[in-house]
Amino acid sequence: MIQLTAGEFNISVDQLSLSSKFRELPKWSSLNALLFISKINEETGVLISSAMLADMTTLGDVNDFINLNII
Amino acid sequence: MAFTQYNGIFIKGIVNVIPSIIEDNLDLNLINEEDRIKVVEHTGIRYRRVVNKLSNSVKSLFKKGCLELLDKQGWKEEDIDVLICVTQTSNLNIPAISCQLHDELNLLPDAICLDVNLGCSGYVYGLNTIYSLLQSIGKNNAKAILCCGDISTSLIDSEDKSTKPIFSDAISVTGIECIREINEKAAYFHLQTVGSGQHAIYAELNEHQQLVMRMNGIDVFNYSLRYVPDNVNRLLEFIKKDCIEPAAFVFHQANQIINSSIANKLKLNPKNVPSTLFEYGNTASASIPVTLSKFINTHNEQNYWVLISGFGVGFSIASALVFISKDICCNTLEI
Repeated sequence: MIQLTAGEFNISVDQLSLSSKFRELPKWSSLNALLFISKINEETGVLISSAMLADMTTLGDVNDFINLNII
Repeated sequence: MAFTQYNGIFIKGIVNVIPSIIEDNLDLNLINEEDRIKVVEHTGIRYRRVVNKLSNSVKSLFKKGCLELLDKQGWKEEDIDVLICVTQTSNLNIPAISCQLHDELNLLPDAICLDVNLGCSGYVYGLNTIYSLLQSIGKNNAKAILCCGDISTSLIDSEDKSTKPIFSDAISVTGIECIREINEKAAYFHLQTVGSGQHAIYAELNEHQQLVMRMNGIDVFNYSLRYVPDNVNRLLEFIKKDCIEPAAFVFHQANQIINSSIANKLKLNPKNVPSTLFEYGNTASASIPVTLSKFINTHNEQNYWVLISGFGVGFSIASALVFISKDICCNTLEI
């Protein structure tokens, strides 16, 4: 999750942890959010809806959701 | 499980009507310069077409396309048995735009006319409705016209960064004919609806009481990836017995993020997936015939099958395999 997020948002992995709040990332925008969701789908096959995303705050929340739903 | 199949019914011609006014996403002041480049890179959309709304309406564009189609095909107005109009942006919904056009085109009273209120899946839904009607009519050389498309920019909130860089204006008119002596397979369809996705794209009144389109990009992505590849795969499974290999896969041109993800999930070779996103953007229900025309006009084979797949507002999904014969004529009018 850290690697994927760092790659998508062009941030060093050192600046991220599972407690990082993804909406506070400097380049968070509607387009980058969509790219983030599509990258997660490409890498894991998991789809995250806007409602599900609204219930998540940190990269750890996203990571937990993926681990619960990965096939 | 809505699968349908038809014999002896063929697309004879496509006329695309494209506005000549071009907007460039790299000049879009709504977003900063760095993000403009990113929008073009990731959505695949550089240029969008915008119609002059003072001198054009969906109906006037449909009429131009119909007259050009009749001329190119050498068809007379009295030859037309079915006219279907697919749009969500007509200025006047009552009476149906197809009935208004029936009058303006001087069609005969025996012509069946109806409107279909669908967006990006509308071309395939409209085509299936026409194939079904032509098969029911059962008349040799029965002819039909399918008009589809929207002036989507009339629904764009000028401050909305989600929709403004994506949607573009265009319409397309397709001529279809039933040729009973050719009793061979000509099309297969797979139509679906997932109403729980109705909130992914919808229209609402804004604070100025103007009707505007709203789009939740993440949910459109989710519904597209969840349902479109499965819809296509089940259609391909349905036709497996007939050993048909599509020459191309023409998808509704949503944006490159969605279209690439669908193509990857279906493990398609990108060279078999034509796109018009860069030059025309998302032209709603016209995007399939516009992209299909581009493919047909550059493809050297004479008789072949193409898979077309529309998806979007509803959430509505429709795919088809259609036979493309060597005598099909596709052209584009810039207005």
